[in-house]
Amino acid sequence: MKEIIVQTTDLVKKFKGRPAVKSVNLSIEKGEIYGFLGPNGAGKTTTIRMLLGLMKPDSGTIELFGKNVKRSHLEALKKIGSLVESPSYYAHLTARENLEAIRKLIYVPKSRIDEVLSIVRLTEDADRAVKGYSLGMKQRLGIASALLGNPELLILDEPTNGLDPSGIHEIRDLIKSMPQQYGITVLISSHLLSEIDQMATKVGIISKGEMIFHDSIEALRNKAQTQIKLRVENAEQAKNLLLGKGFVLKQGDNALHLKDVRDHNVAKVINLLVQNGIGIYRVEEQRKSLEEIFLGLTDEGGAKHAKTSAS
Amino acid sequence: MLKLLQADMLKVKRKWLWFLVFLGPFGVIALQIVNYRVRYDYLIQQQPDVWKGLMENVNMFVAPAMLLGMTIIASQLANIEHQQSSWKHLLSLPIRRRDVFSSKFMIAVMMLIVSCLLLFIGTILLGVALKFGWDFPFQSLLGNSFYPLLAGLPVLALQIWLSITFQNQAYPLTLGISGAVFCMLSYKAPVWFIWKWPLILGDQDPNRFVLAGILVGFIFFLIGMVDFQRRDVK
Ligand SMILES: Nc1ncnc2c1ncn2[C@@H]1O[C@H](COP(=O)(O)OP(=O)(O)O)[C@@H](O)[C@H]1O
Ligand SMILES: [Mg+2]
Repeated sequence: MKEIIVQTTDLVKKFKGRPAVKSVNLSIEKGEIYGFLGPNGAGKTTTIRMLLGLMKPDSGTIELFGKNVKRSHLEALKKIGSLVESPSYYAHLTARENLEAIRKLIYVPKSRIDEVLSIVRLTEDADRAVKGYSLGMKQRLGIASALLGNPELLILDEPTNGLDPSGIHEIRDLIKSMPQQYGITVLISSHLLSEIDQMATKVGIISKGEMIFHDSIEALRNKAQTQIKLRVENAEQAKNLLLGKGFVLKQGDNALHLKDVRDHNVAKVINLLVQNGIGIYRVEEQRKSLEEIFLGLTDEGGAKHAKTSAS
Repeated sequence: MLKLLQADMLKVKRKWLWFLVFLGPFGVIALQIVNYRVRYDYLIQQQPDVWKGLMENVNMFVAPAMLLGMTIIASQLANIEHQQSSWKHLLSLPIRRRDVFSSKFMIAVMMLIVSCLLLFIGTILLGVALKFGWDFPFQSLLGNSFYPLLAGLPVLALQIWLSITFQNQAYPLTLGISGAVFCMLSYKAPVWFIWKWPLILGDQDPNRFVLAGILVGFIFFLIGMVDFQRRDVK
């Protein structure tokens, strides 16, 4: 089994009695790109702050690199680079000075500053005050500071927030190269599945403070319920006929949607329609997009939450 | 700890903090130049020991200036981290929170020591310029220049703590500025009113307030540090 880098057990955090994170269990293996997904306000940042020791959990445990960090985060933090929410920077200083102010606090040689500047492609602008930077450049500087200490674990909280598509693409490529090129494990959070989809190897979905999914991205895809969509000559007649024979289906969009997609079932349905002289125009397989699955999952979580809080 | 101090020194670059460090003592001496120009005879008559008289006059101005300086420096130092929410990044580096807090406090003390030294030199130059002669009371002058800093340490510790704790600097600034104003009117204030400690009042022994300042200042510093260690970072 692979080394587990991050392991949380029943993590809980409340703000003034209101739970923001309820019993979150994360498990991230070495070399993974872990996509931490959830709509705004789901508790991603709060969880990440606890991982970094910025906030103390009300209950539950955090293990980083196989060690419980309840008493001290110091050793674990030496191996972690992070970017939480908006990038932190000192606007009156240049990018190089910003990195130097951080470098003084961690044990890395000065040459590392040039390395990270070139990784995020800020070398040319390195000696300009950061207040004149675009949002994308500030974000890249944030990633550069996260990489400065040669981390084994990179924690990025919504790193593409507010970036334009090309900026998003750039950061995505950068993150994708981390495990192969530098052997870094990555935890990246986002409220958009599409962003995580193309780089994550594992996904955890959080909604209203609760983990509602935790598996590989393939497993998430498999959750996609496929349907067979039938467009026929007389939908009403066809529906009554099929329902009468015990098939499960729904009518909508001028078509019938068949739940059971197994081949023999589809064959039977078509056979029946043909025998009864109902013309068949289209037979299509329909698969929900990942985004739809994600929205469905988080909605379910929401509905469950609403029920429990109402009772 | 040393690396934190170095990093903090780098961060105050291009801020006008160092300017303030020079402005404080310069302003106090400038006001005394005006003071002595306008009523030289009266002032000399009031206190025949000319150097002692000068020190008393300087102290009256230095006490509120020092409190104001402490307030602004503490606020500026904290604000460097508040501005682009840098606390979260700073505190997720492998450094101890207590060192982060101590470093801010020590940078402030160092800046104020520079101010006090400048005040010391300035007072001597002013005295000499006023033809008080070169045989000035070295020790008393040194004491007079550093007294408000030492007696004011509790205020500094309090301001550092509040400036770091509150993102909105209006709270610590309001408290600090009120303290500086009330300090000038606080002859009759009870002894626990820490804002009056930097003032030298006729009938009290300054040494006691230096001692109290260091002691209480250290206690406030510890309380602030423990609080900072426990607090959640937003
Ligand atoms: N410092 C705080 N004080 C009070 N409530 C907070 C604080 N931080 C976050 N919350 C609340 O906790 C919930 C989760 O927030 P957050 O972790 O920031 O979500 P996400 O990062 O997934 O958008 C939200 O309802 C938010 O309002
Ligand atoms: Mg967030």
